[in-house]
Formats: sequence, C-alpha cells, structure tokens
Amino acid sequence: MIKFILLVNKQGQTRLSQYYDYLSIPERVALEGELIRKCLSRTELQCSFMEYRQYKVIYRRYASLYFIVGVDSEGENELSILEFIHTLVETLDKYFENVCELDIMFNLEKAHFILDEMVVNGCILETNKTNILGSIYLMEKASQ
Amino acid sequence: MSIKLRELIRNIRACKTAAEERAVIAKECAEIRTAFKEEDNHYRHRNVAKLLFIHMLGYPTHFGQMECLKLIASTKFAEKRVGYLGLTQLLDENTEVLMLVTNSVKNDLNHPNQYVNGLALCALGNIGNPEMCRALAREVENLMGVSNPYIRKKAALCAMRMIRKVEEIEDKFNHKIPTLLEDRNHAVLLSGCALLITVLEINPSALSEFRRYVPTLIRALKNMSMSGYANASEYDIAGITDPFLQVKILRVLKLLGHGSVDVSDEMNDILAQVATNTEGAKNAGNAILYECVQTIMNIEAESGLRVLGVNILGRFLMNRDNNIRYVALTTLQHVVTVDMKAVQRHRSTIVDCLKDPDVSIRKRALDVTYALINEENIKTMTKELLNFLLMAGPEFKEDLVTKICLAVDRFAPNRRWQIDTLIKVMCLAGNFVQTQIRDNFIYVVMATPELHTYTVHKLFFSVKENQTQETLIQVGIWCLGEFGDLLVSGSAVGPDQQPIKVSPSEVLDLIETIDRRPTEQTIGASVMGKTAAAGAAGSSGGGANSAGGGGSGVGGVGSAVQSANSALVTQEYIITTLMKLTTRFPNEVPRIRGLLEKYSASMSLEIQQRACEYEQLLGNTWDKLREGILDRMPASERAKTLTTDRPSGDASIDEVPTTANHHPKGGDLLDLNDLLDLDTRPAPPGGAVLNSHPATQTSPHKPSTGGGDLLDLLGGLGGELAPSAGAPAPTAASGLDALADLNLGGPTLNSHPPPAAAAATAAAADAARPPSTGGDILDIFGGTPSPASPPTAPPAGGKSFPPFTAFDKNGLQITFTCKQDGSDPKRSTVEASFVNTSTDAMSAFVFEAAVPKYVTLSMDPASASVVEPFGLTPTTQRISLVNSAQGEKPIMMKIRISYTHKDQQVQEFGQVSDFPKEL
Repeated sequence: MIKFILLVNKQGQTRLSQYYDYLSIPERVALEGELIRKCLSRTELQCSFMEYRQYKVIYRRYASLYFIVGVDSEGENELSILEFIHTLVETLDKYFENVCELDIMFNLEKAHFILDEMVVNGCILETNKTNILGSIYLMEKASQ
Repeated sequence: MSIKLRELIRNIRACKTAAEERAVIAKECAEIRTAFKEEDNHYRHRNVAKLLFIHMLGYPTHFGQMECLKLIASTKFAEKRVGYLGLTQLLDENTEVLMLVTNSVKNDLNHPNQYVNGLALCALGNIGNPEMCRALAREVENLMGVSNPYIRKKAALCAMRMIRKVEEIEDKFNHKIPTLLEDRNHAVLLSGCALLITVLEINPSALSEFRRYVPTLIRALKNMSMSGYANASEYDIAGITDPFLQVKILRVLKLLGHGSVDVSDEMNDILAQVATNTEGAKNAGNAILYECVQTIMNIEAESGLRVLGVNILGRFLMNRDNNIRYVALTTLQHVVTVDMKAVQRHRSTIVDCLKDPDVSIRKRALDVTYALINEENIKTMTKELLNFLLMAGPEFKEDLVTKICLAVDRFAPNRRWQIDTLIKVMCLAGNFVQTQIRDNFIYVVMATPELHTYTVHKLFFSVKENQTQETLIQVGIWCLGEFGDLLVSGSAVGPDQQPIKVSPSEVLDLIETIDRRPTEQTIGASVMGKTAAAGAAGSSGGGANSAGGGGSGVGGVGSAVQSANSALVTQEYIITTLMKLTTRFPNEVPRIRGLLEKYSASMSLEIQQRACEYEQLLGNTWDKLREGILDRMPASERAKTLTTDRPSGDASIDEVPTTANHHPKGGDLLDLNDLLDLDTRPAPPGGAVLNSHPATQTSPHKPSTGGGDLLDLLGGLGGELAPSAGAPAPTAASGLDALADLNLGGPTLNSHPPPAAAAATAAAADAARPPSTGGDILDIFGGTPSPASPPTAPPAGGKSFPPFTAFDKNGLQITFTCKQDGSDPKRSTVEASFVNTSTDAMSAFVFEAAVPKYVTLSMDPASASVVEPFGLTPTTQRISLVNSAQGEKPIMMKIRISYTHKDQQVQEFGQVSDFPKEL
C-alpha cells in the first residue's frame, strides 16, 4: 500500500502532500524534512529506493522537484511505483501543459483532485491519462 | 476583507524568514476564523482551500474542520468538492468531527450524480473510520454493482478499506469480486485485484473460494502480455500494455498459487510466457519481470520455471541500472529460503555489491549475504565480511558487525574459531559491538573451559596493542579478572615452544593504562563544572588518592555523553577484575588495593558503592572466605544452552586458524594467532572443576560446613547492604542484585540487570531459608538472572505436537507448541514462544488472540513484556484452548501483536490456521 505521496522541492519546501495513514502535523514536518535531506544526499547514479523507518521510499527527481512515494516495507513492486510516479508527472504535465513547480503550488486543490482520481486508499486506481483528465474536465464544468 | 488564495501564496513566498512566514500565516488564520465565525458562505470554499495550503506547510488547521462539513452539505458541486478535499486533508480518522459527516456521505453515496458518488467514495476510502465503514457498507456494496465503471472502481477500493477496518464485514464483498475480475475495464479489474489481495491477506481461508478464478485472470494477463498494441492503447507504456495491471494480476496469482500444486500448474504456461516475452529494456517491462519472478518463487512452480526465474534475477544482478540490481537483491533475499543452491551460484556477484557506493544496495546485499551463510561457507564468508568491515563507513559498521557475530554464533564450526573470529571483530570494530553480543561472547568463553588459557592470552595481547575499541577492552578486562591466574602461570607455550611468561605486574600495568586512557573531552561547560567539583571531592575524599588517580576516575564520568556510558561500564569491569585479581595475584594485593581505593570517590554511585564494598571485603575478617567469594564464575544456564551443540575445537598448539588472514591494515593485530599458538591445558585444579558443574559437585577443597558459612555470610552481607540498596542505584540493581554481583563478581550481571523484582524476591526467599546443605548455596549461585519459574505446569499426560511457526515477519517469529490434554481431548494448551531475530529489543510487547465462537480461549501473562533481540531468550506465553467442535472443525486463531521496536510503534496482524487437526 502507498502510505504517502510527497512533492518536495530542492529547498525542502513541500509542494504537495497526501498521506494515506494518519500522521500528526509535527510528525509530517519531520518526515518530509528528513526525506528530502536523504534524497538530496544521493546522486543520480544511485538507485531510486531508500529504506526509511518502516517505509520503503521510492523517489524520482523532475527538475527541481522531488516526487517521493512511501510504501510499506514489503508488498509493493518498487519498479511499478517508479513507473507510477512517471505516469503521475505525465498526467500533471498534460493537464497543466508543461507543468512546473509553481503550477502545482498555485493550483494545489487541482493537483489534489488529479491525484484523487489516480490513488484511493493507498491503491492505484487509474493510470490512463485520458480517463483521469476526462472526469476532471467534466467535474470542472460542473463546478462552474 | 478576504484575500485570494494566490495572493496568500505570494505573501508567504515573499517571506524571508520562518518567523515572517509564521506571522503571515497567523494573521491569515485569524482572518479565516473570523470569516468562519461570521458564517461567510461566499468565501467559505476559498478559505478552506487556503487552509489546505497552510496545513501542507505544517501549521495547525483544526478550526477549519467544521467548515468542511458545511461545504460537504452544500448543494453546489464546487463547494462539495472542496469540502471533501478538506475532509480528507484536514481530518483524520480519529477526529470526532468525522462522526458528524456520516450522514452527508450517506446522502452523497445515494446521490443520482455519479461524480458526487465519486467524491464521497474517494473521501470514505481515504479516511473512513470503523463506525463510518459499518454504517455505509451497504451503500458501497450497491455501488460496486452499478454500470458506471468510474463508480465501480472507486467502490471496490472503498470496500477494501472497509474490510481492513471492520472485522465482521470481511466477507461482505466477496460475492462482488468475481464480477470485478471479469470486468473489461482495466481500472475496475485493477481495483478488483487490489480488493481480492486484501481479502486473501486478511482471511487466507478464502483462498479455496477464489482459486477457480485463476483461468479468468490468466486470460486477462495473456491478452495484455501477448497483444501489446492491439489492446487498449491508452494504457500503453513504452510498448507494454498496462504494466500496473499486469503486476497486480501476477501478485494475485502469487497468492492463489501458493500452496497448491494444481493451481500452480495451471499458471505455469502463462508465467513462462510473461517471463520470456516481456521486453526488459524499459522500467515498465522490468517491473513485470520482477513481479513475475516473485510469483514463480512463491508458488509451487516446476523446476524449469524456477530456473527461468533465477536466470532473470541473475540478469538483473548484472544490470548496470542500480534500481534493477536493488530489486534483484530484494528478491534474492526471499529466494534464499526457497532455493539456496540457485542463489549460491551468484554469491560472488552479491558479495561484490557490498562494495557499492549506494547504501541502499549495500544494505540489501548484506542481508542476502547474511542469509547465504551456512555451515559450509561460514569461514570464507566471514573472511569476506571482515574484509568489508575494514572499509565500511561508520553508519554501516554496526549492522555489519551484528550480522557477522550472529552468523558466527549460528554456524561456527568450533569454539576456538568462534572465539578467534569474535575477538577479531572486536579488534576491528569494537566500538560498534552491541552489548548483547559482548555478553554473548562472555557466555561462550565461560562455557568453554578448555580454551580459557588460550582466550585470556589472546585477549591480553590484543588489548595491549589496541586500546581504542571499547568492547574489546571490556571483554579483555573481564577475562583478566576471571582467568588472570592462567595468564601468569606460564603454562602456555608459544609457537617457538617457549613458555609465554606474563608477570602479574604486567597485567596490572595494562589495567592501569586502560584506566588512565584520556577520554574524549567534548564536555559542555556545565559538565566541566561538575567535573571540577568532583575532582575536589575526589582529592579531599581519600587521603591516599593521588591527584592523577582522582582525575582519571572522574574523567570517565565527565567524558562525552555517549562514550561516558561505555567508559563507565569499562570502569565497572575494571573494579571487579581488580578485586578478583587479589586472590589470583596474592603478591600484588597492596598495589591492587591502591588502585581500588580511588574508586571509592567515584562520581558513579554504582562504582563508588562497589569499591567501598570491595574495600570491606579485603579486610582480614574475610580472609578465609575471600577465595570462595572471588572464585571463577560458574558457567550459567544460558552459557550451557549456548554451547551444548558444538565442539570446542582444536585447542592444541599448532593449529593455525584459517582465518588468520593478512589484511593490509590491522594485519599485525590479527596475526596474533600465528604469534601465539598457545598450548591449552586443562585449568589447574580447584575452582575450575566446580565451576563447570556447579549443580552437581561441591568444591573438593572446601569443607561442607564452609558452605553453610558462606550462606551466613550472604545473609549477613545482605543485612549490611540493605541501607545502600535504598539509594537510587543507577543500574536499577536492587540490594540483592548487588549482593549477587559481589559474590559472583561478574560485571556481566551488572550490565544485564535481571528482571529485578522477581529475581530479587526469589533470591531473598532462598536466602531466608535455613542453611542446610552445600547444594543450596550453589543453587543460589546458579539462580542468578534466570527469570521467574514457568507459570503453571502443563497438564500431565496428553499428546504433544511438533512446534510450528505461527507468524514470521520483520524479525519476529512466533512458534506454537500444542499439547492436547490427556483426559479431555477438547482441551489443549499452546505454548507460544516469541523470538526476536532483529538487533533491537521489542518492548511493550503485547500478544492478543481471537478465536471462532466454538473455541474458548484463556491466556496466562507472558513471561516478559520485552522480547530480547538476536533471538537469544524467547519470551513465552501459555494459551489454553477448549475446542467444543473438536474433531469437526480445526482451531483457527487471529492474532494481533503490538510492540515498540527502535522507538517505533508496530502493530501486526496474522492468522494461524496450521493447528494440528486433532485439536
């Protein structure tokens, strides 16, 4: 199961966080800080997986933004999560048309809506960009 | 006036300091609160969106929770949408506010608009608590059957949360799963698989029910694996159709195929197909291959398929991409238990990964390497690991040391080799050895009388050369105290056939040098002050104290916080050793007395108290008994269990241990073996014989009445010591514990306080009994740290069953040993034994069990609330069961285990269905 999905930039500022297991705010802040420090200390050549506390952490960097996903230490396919991160980025990219950090920051709720179409309860729900964005567009229409 | 969200974000970004940011947010929060108070409907959803941002930055936002509820109840879709998002972000499943939302969610689940349904399902899936799950299960069940796939997929994942949260509805959704598995929509099938996996994990007995859907799943997998582009192209990733779904299906197959040869046969072909046809050039393909190998290794696959799987892993291991190598190592760790031989073939590649610059890879490689060690390769593998120990970074060392020591303990061919290797580890990385491993080493030495002379010589020279490794020093000092007489007896012969002569003064010189080692001076000002004060106290306290002596004694206390502790422990070892040496080096008593005296002014209460006691013991009153009191420690029960199974090894002169390898660094040290090929003769008569069989033999040179005296002495001392026991001893040792220590003289007891209360009261009861025979004394001697006796005796007669593993995860292994009552076959007792093979203790350990209605269960308290690491001493708990349907239905049990491990709360669930059918 996915336990959390974080988008953190190189300065250590969280740009999006979604937890599927409850953590108190101080715990979250500490976790995010430690994870980004660990990510920054690793080189491009090192693998995209880390073991941290009870989690297995899969991360991938896009420009200045780190996409960090935590899963239970056993029972998830690390490579598949890595692929999922890429799908998530592609979906955001398609929606925001050339996504950048600021898009996500200024449109936090939209990014959350997209994520909610892709993951529910720590499980991957949908990975087809057309299907994801199709329902997003429809809901936006309904919101107006 | 409310500002826009964008504006708020801009303001926050413009902040240069954290304090500024806090001020901006505090101001905004105040405005939002006011707006909420004024029931400002117009800006409510904008304000909640702001709170989302503030929450993400890590500020408290609980005051917005009620507003989310209001938004959810709104009829406008936009508001509802933000409301639900706020609900999942700002609330957690423990918030009481959540209770209030159940009704709104229920309404939305029944709403005619599918997107409203979708919002409610998503929120329920993310944060639904047990009460909500119970109340809304029916709605979700209905939504799983609607025609719109958008709803079906979300409902399936929502159901998955419900069965995790609420036990009694775990099979409520089972009848919906088959339709989900036949769904042509990829996302619905994906969610269906996820739900099925959860069902199977929670309740393995559902396996047989779902095995018949294997062909359906195989068909779906085949479609994707074979036809690539022809299929739904929108799910295509790098030329591979929906890798996520393929991975999920493979995972379901893994669970369904496990334990059934027939079902495994069914999937044989498709797995072979996936394994051979999937393109491994891209990450998506490798994800599938990786999952496929895991499935192959977990099911009862035929050997050809296994070979295919292992070959894929071999290819992965050679891959240049670190991600691939990482998953290969992760998988190999599981494969080791299935097919050791296949993995051994890749041993050199795996061992090479220990050198990888990437710590993730190194960690995995170490785990696999450790799993690969067995009786045959222990010597070569240890050699490799010791080589890496020389180069490993400090953060890696502790793990490595622990693994080496555990492996050596498990597979050492003989005691000589084991002792040699452990000493070598301590020479190289003695500062990284955990206390349990140190104590274990001492137990091993204790239980191997043939090697006492050898060990003490080896340690003496090792410590002499290397005084930076704390653990090495501690065990060295301990051995000097116990076996100092063997060291100076001159009975050992070196490689040149010349006896090795060590004089008592050399030994004392060494101890003194260690005592005066400069300790790292990273002290804060306050500690400095304390040190100065203590120094003054030290010099005024004892007239005989030289200034240097006082200083060094206190220096240990004032040293850096982390090393202070181990320095103190070393001092504890030193004083006991000095005391023991008074009987072993009778001519050096005045010098030893001088050395001991300065400790009576030690800052450590424990050390000071002990030093004063020892001073008393040196008085003439105890002349007759001192030798008995300071005799060698008898091998404890634990030491005996540790050593029953292994030969002590060749203790003769000319064995040159194979592991005496020549490292570039530290080599001189390790070559001690060659330098010192010692003769090991049986220990001189006296204590030694007694010590190895404390329970059966009384000391030959001690009159039996002496035993009585000794007991009296114990009683007397107990009385004398009572006041000091009231003082807050730092090691939490009670007075009796201290007494035990005094008589047995072993510092190990010290660092290993027995379950204080129980042991102390037991010992007190023993001591209170009128002295009768010598045997009793020895009982007291032997009865040191062993925990309270087993709770109740098992019912006599009846049938015993072989133990089986009930649970094994994250280093915790639970074994059940069942015993059927002789008179009533319905009754049985289960002895649960908890073994912790990890490197840290599991504290606050609670084991709970639940059984079906036809079984009644009662549990005795566990033997301890802590499960000791390294699998040393299992904690046990007795469970009594009465199966009213004995013979018809087998016993099943659900278990819940919670404990604290490495400061983390851990909770695990499991199901035990391997009970013997007869019960």
